[in-house]
Amino acid sequence: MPIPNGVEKYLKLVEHDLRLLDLLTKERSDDLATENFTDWQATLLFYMACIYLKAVCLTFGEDIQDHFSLRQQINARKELAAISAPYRHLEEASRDARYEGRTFDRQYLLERLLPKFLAVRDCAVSLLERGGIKNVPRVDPTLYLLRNA
Amino acid sequence: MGPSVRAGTVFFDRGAIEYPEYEQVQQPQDLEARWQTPGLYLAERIASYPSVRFVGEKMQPDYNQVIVVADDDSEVLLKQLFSIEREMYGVFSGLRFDCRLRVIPSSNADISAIVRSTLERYRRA
Repeated sequence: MPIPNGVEKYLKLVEHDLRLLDLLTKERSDDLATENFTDWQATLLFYMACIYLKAVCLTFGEDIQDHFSLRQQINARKELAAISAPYRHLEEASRDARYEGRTFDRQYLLERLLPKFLAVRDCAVSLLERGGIKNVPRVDPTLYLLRNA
Repeated sequence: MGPSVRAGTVFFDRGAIEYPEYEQVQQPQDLEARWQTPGLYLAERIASYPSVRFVGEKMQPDYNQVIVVADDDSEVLLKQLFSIEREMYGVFSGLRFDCRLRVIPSSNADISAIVRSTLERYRRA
């Protein structure tokens, strides 16, 4: 089975987003030490989930270029039924963060958002592997989120 | 007398032709015409959740924006909200819509700007 164009690019983007999460959660210089970046940590969880699913949709023959189209796919396809609610929670939390300035406490990130990202990731990796994609990265943000004081 | 044709319209003379199956046909007056939109659909289903404060709806140029304001985003509410949303993708399959959940506890913020800028579909008393 030929690998659809773009899958590899999306998977590299997921890894790139993980490295940004690493950067955001590392010890920071004094001028940024007290800045709360949990809004962007939550947003990166959403972006990684989104890009994983864009890669999955390519294996279905769908090129997704907007959030509505992706929501349509996750709500209409049986293969994605189990992760539609977890994905939507990540999306709404990210919108709160980006547009309303919401920040999150450590417990919310670790107990409410992280398990949902991991569910989306596992579903995506399984579907990509079933679609013939080899060496799919299974990114794990757990250690980075645990750094939050 | 059979069907007659006038100016492209077909008229049936019911007195002249027997239609044994006619009684089985649903008459227009039996149909319940009902205006349905994503916001109305969602409001009807989610309003029973005590943490939901408001459901509003606004037509944007190319999609329908639905806004749910809730005191919190408990797992119980999220499960129900996204389950209804999933149904909506089947019910309104030809319509672009966006459901937005805003978490605004009644204790610390008013939502008058949201209420003013949307069509009210539900408001907690």
